[in-house]
Amino acid sequence: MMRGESETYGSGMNEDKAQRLEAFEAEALGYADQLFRVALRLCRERGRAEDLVQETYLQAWRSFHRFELGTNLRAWLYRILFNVFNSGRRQEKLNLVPVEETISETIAWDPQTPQNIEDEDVLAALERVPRDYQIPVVLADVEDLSYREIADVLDVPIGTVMSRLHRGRKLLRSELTRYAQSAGYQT
Amino acid sequence: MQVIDCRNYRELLDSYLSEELSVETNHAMLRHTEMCQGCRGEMAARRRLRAVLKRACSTDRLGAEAEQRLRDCLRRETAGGVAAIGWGRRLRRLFEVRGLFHLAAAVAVAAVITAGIGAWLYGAFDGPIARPDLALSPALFEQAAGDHEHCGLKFAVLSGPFEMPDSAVNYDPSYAGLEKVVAPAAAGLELRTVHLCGHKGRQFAHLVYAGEGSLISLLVTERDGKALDMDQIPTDDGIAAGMQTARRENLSIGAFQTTRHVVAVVSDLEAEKNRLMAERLATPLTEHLRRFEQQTAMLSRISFIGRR
Repeated sequence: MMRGESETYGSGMNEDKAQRLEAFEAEALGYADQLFRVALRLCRERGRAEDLVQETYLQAWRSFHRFELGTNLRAWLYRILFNVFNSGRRQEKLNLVPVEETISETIAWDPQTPQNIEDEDVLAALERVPRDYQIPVVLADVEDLSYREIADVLDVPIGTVMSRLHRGRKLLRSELTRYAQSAGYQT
Repeated sequence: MQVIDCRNYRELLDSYLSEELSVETNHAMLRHTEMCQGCRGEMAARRRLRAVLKRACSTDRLGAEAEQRLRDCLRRETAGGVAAIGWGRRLRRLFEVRGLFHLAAAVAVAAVITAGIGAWLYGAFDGPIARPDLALSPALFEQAAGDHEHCGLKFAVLSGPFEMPDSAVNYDPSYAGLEKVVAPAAAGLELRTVHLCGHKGRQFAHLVYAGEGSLISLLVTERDGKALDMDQIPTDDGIAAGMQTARRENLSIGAFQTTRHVVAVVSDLEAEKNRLMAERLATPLTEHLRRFEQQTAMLSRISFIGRR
């Protein structure tokens, strides 16, 4: 944006603030699709996911002056997104408290990954994974967040993230295997 | 040297693919991969699964239209936050032009009387008001109802923030901690958000509560000329005006005034229920604002005397 162009936003916005908004948009809006994908998994409905992303950016912009450039902007935005989501409808909150789960149960159940899988099969299988397990899997395996980043974003200990990922990935493979077997694919 | 069997390999495989293992465990995984054909196949299958998962999920995008709405929303937020002048500056300005102040006050008294009579004649307010000369403008009720409809109802599905953001406090320092001031009176209601927003040129501190089967907006705004349809706001305490009520379509509004602020409660509750809700929520708030305004005015006087 050229200097002075900020006047087009109306008399309410001065040039300095317009430039800061421009910097914020340049830095942060590149993550909009990523945030939206996770929002869609959380809300399961496009309109609500769009609202959630918008509210996330609004809050991020309101506290952008507290954000230190050079630190992890993507993780910061995700964290705001989960804060906004979790402060919403009580019954929808993510429940990431570690579940009682014995090691033997976990090890005894290890489905093999099917060989031939289609995009829609994967999406259908992912949809059947409970959301509390699904979200960490999406953050790690789709959005490439590190375990540490996921722990920060969801505000839970890293051990909880690891156990959720472990179980979530197995659930996904299990759903896929079941699907592949019923469709007659090689597993 | 660490040795990994097939069972451990499959337990650790995903963390290996996510590059989350230690160097030593990585080496042990690689050694096992070279040795075991079955596990090599499993690694290839899980890599494929990740690639397919990533590709399948990546087709979901925010979309140009939603991104434009997001950009517009950020611009509105930014424009709203800057239009403000802090109360300290406003008051200092008032005292700096003290010579003109008396003239303005005389004009204001005339305007109060004219506007009051005018408003009464043209039915600008629906409910009775203790001081008709201090009637709030129909435009203000439109703005308050509009803000409830366009902003407040959004919080049926969204929530937060739960503390007044800095942007709102910079706009008007008396907005700091409003949610805490109202908290005891709002017991039993669920706070959905506290923020600064605007509708049709008017800025509001906006608290949204859910309760009694309704969403309830508690709005605080500046008691300026447009709020009262006057060129100059009266300098006396608007608390004497009591509550002024109005209906806009299916919405009930109850509004109070202090010297510098208007506090309004908007909901789709029936008129009498909303009136009780307004009394309950707005009473502690008007008390808080009145005290804040008195302190600010006193500080400004001291600062003015100090400069002389």
